[in-house]
Amino acid sequence: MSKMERVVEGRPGLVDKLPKPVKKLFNWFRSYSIWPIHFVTGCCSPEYMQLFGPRYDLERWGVLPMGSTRQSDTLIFVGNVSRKMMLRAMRLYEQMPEPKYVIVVGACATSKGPFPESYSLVRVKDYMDVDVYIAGCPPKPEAQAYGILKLRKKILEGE
Amino acid sequence: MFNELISFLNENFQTLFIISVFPGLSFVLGFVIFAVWYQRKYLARLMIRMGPVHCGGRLGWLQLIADALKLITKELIFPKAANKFLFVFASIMLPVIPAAMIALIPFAPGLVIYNASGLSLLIFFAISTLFPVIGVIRGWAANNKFTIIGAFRNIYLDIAGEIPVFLSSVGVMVWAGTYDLNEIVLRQQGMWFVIPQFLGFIVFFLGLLAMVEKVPFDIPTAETELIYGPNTEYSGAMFLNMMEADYVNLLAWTLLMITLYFGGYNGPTIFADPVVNGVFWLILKLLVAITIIFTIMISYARLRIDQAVRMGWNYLLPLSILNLLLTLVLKYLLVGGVWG
Repeated sequence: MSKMERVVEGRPGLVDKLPKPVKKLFNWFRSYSIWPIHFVTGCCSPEYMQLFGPRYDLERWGVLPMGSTRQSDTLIFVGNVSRKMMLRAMRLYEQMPEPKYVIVVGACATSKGPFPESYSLVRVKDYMDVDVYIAGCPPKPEAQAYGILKLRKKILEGE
Repeated sequence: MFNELISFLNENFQTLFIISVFPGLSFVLGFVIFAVWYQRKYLARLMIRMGPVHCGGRLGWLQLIADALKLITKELIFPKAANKFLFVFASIMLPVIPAAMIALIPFAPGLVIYNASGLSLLIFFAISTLFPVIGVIRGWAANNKFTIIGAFRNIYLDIAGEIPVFLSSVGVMVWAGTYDLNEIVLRQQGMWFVIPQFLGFIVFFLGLLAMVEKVPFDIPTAETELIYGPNTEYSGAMFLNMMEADYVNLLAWTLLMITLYFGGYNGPTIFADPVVNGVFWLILKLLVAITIIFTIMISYARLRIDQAVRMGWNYLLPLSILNLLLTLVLKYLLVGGVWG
């Protein structure tokens, strides 16, 4: 893991070969049990942290923040990602078991944001497949909650 | 062949029911699902949150089912450097050991899975000593620095809690004059042992909190702040086993606490059937006990590892020995003899 190459998506899961009602059940329980791990590199994270407090409480939808990549489903990029940090992020992504999802929060990680000519910042989408982008600088907690619920809806509809 | 099987099942229906349904397997697994759900909802309410409300109605009762199904269907990852046999072995054995401890607990008059002919408390402790050993194996087998650090913190804590727990239960053994858990329950019909053994109970409860790794002592994992302690490398279904082991351990030790200090299945007669009555009171006491443990979880800050170990060796161990001496003296004065 020293080259900056795009992470190859895992092999297609068993789920794709299953009959439709079973696939629906799989999508149902996966959509209700998103366990994210957050990759905090910037100032979107104070907004992100509020999601699990009393006001926004994403545990209502079964979203449970985890500390280890082995048990989590979703990698959330919170803040700008430099070339050096991207190597670590790719390693985290490869440690996660399938099925896994990626959410990108904020302008920096989406499109370098206010630093378009930076030599060190990178866009996450150049290195791995992203499921949901959340716009804003930084996005409000409402917007981040909306983004995570969008991912939930995406899983539920099996996209 | 088939008829023989049917007749075997019919003849041994009661034994099979006890092993597989009520105090046995189904009850233990059902308790794990209930306890995790109850912990999430109860802690959320105390934090002025809602907890899971969208999955299965307002109570969120399907949440744990969804989580478990998701974990079962996830990819299993075996680290390249891990000892794969021990890695899988530890994840399978860890929930089995506390479940075997539950087999010795009397749930009602005559309702016990394994009748150990008068030695059940000793066998309970003998089985419980395997738990930290498997706990260290799981950390060592994954061959990761976080799991090894977590496993050593786990064993420091377990030994600091286990020895005071053993010694404070010796007080109960001396006071009751028997090793048999059923006999200990029967001798509490007049007075619960928490009154004559109050010092021993305090020591036992603090040691129990250290052994089940709930918040004042959740040092090995620190609520996912130390990655996930000894469970760091486990993914999918093996992680499910680890979570299950934690809660089965909680169930076993809480049941032992109720049996030793709070009269076990004794209680005022509400149902005419003594078995139903005993089970009702035991489950009620169990719910009160886990509610108190979860309330302590949210009310206190975490201790450091050195503070927890110092508490175990410097305070709980002398207190448990003092409790044993006081029990001997009290019993000699009241009964006129230490034995019987």
